[in-house]
Amino acid sequence: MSAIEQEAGGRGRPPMLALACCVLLVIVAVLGDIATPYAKDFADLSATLAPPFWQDGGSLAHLLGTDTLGRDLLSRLIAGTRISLLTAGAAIFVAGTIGVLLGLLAGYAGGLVDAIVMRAVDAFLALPFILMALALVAALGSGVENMILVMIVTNWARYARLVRSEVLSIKGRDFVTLARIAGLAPHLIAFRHILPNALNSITVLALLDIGRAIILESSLSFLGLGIQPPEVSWGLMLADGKAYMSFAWWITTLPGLTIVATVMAFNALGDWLKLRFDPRAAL
Amino acid sequence: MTSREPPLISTTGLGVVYGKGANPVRAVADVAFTVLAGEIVGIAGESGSGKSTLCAALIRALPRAASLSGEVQYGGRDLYAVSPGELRRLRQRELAMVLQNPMTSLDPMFTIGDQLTEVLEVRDSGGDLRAKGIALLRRVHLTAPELRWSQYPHQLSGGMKQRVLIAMATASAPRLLVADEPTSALDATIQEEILLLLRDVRDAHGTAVIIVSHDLNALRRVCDRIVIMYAGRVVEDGPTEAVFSAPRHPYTRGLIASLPHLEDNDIVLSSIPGQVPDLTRLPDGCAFAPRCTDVLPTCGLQQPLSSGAGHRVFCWMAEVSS
Repeated sequence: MSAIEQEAGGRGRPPMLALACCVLLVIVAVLGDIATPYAKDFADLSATLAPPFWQDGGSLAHLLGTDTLGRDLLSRLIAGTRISLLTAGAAIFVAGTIGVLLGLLAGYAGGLVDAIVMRAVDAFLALPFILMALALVAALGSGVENMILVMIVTNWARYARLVRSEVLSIKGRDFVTLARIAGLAPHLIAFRHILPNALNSITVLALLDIGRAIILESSLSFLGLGIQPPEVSWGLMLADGKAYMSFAWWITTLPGLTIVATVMAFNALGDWLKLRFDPRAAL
Repeated sequence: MTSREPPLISTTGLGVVYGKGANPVRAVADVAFTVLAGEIVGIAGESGSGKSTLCAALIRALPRAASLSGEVQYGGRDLYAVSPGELRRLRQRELAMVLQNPMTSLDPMFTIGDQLTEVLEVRDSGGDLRAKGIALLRRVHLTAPELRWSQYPHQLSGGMKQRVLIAMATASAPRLLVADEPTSALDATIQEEILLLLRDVRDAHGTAVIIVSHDLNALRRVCDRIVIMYAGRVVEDGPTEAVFSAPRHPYTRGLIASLPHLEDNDIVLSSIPGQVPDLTRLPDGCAFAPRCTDVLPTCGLQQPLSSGAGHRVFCWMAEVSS
């Protein structure tokens, strides 16, 4: 035990930069409009395509420049943070809850229930998810709610599969056998002993999934199928600026960098947690 | 303990087979034995002799892959015929089990206190659960019970964990406690204490205790009766002293002879030649015959029947000599 802990000395410290990024993003998302210098759709037509302040022609009035309509890029990035994190967070929360409950049911009940749930999981995992997302958006229309729905539909199966495999391994452990022999009701065993022991893996998957979900939302918004104006998201900003890339790089590059940084920060945090939780991963 | 007293638990023709198809493993075959209320019964035998399977069968905790034949009567009822709800009630009040490995028997996510509280809640006991729990921990001689209450399993040693598990198992003063190799994972100095603790449990609540172990010396000290198993069958069953001082089955004699003993200041280790038979290919006759020193022609052909009343033995040789 102590040897492992010594070994773990290096991974005992969380990745501070990633952690700081994540905390900052969450704060920005919560504050939202309050923190923006301008309203997200305020168009200053006298200052269109203004570059960021450090470039020639840039000014401190628009720190990160403006887009074709003179809208402040920093304000839009901040407003986009809220939409991006909200859709990702809500989708993962609901998809996770559904997946965890179904996985728990499948793994614990076994037999026919297991077979039915897991075939559904296989079916959902077999569909290419961008295709499924396109089909759903085509059927339901776009918008924040549908965006979240799309992500729930495309993600729950991964949680169900993870939780089922965890349940199968935890179910055979001695303390579960003893709980059964002590006469604990099956639902209490499932929620009090099996779920808490599976929680580590679920947390790690959820954190790693935030990155995925942000990418998915951005991709769909970029394709014009996700978030619709006047709402703003990072993917939508990328799409807006793509025609101007050659002479106004900041309109696409800055949201792009934000996406990259966010995904990397959450992944780093997830990877660190994975190592923290799993002593085998350190060896 | 007269024979007129109805047994707490008894089995007739109990058999357990793992797997289906061409080569099923017959882990337990044709076991008939009884345990009286308040009795401590030791079950001994080599690895693979069906001890643990028998234990699991006695409290209806066999894995799904196992199929059972024969009958287990508990308190006058067929244990395998009671409804799931009734089985759960029995387990909450009357049946308890301690497993071999205390390291994995406690949920790592919860404190000792949480886990004891859960057991006490399940058993419907009201009042101050913490006080009751700490009293239980004190009864199993756990040091600093108030401190342990808020500690997690990884903060306790193996022996301490086994004490906690015994406290949990005996929280409801059960009528039957099955201890499947309760000391095998512990170091030698703790083993004896744990076995004596099991005897305390019997003395305090009149609990019948079934202890499975390889350790014949330990069983000899705490058990009223010893059951020797070989290849899934009971070969000898009798009062502890009778079994040790006058073993009637050649396998029992071999086991006792293979205990380390001193001879002119030299430690002598002897063993029974041969090895445990393959449970998928058991002979028609006595499974011990290939390793036995006194073989009769019948031994290889037919299962020996039991002879003797208080001290039963399943051996053709004993049949002949009696």
